[in-house]
Amino acid sequence: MTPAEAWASVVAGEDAAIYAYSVAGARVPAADRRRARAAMDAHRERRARASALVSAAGGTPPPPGAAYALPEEVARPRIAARLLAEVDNALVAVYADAAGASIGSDRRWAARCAADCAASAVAWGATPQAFPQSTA
Amino acid sequence: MTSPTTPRTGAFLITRRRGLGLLAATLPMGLLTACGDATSTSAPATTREATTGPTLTQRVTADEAALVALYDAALQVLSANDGPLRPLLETIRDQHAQHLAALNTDGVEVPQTPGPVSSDGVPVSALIEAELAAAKRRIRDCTEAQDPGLARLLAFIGASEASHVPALRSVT
Repeated sequence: MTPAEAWASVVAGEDAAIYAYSVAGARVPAADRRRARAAMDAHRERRARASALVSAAGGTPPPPGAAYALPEEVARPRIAARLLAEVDNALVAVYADAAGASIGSDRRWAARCAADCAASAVAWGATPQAFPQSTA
Repeated sequence: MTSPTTPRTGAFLITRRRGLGLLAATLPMGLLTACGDATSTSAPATTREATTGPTLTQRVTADEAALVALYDAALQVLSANDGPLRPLLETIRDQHAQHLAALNTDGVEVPQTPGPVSSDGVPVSALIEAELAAAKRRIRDCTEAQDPGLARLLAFIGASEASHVPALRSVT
């Protein structure tokens, strides 16, 4: 995997996460909404940096999807939290791939993002894993 | 709202509505992994570190062995009636053992670092501090790795350790 490919996967994953947070963030329990907003802001910032890294690596950042299909209606707070846990866990592998494909400060950032996403997933209710990934 | 192109192996995959070709080209690897092997908990593949590897790998291996020993010490003094704490500590202890196994592919005997164990056991706050410090070290270790596969593995391990922190906080 080239750096451009790895960062493009991050951009696509962050776009999916931003969409998930835009849908589910308002449906989590009221006490968790501030955390959801902060997490969405973090995903947006990561998306912007990853997009710049795609360009710097000579690639073209993928555009956000026109729409995304959620496998289940996010009707209840518990389902909303589970969706956010799932998208955050899915991003861990994407950032780990980016860590493997990059060096220096970019790799450090990718590893830190992987850690942040894994911690966020567990904070939303996911079970800790030895090698965090989506369980869907 | 499930897309016909969405695998139905589990709950929460997000897929684009556009064609499958675009889907395959743009979906993050984590989601693709989830489609293919939803229950896999195997360690990411890596290769032996070429130059600085032995030192780095040995250091992280010893670090993981010390974490296993710390959880063993914490579990030693827990009673069976400690609610959700015991199963959580057992789970996390096993995950550090998996990290250790993934790093120590040659099966070299790893010396156990005897931790300071008091009769009062290891407070959860000390475990949280240990996980925070380990996650921070793993990010540094990842940056130092010469082998991309080892860097990827260390990113996974650091992520796992960071995820232990909110899990431990949830039972305090």
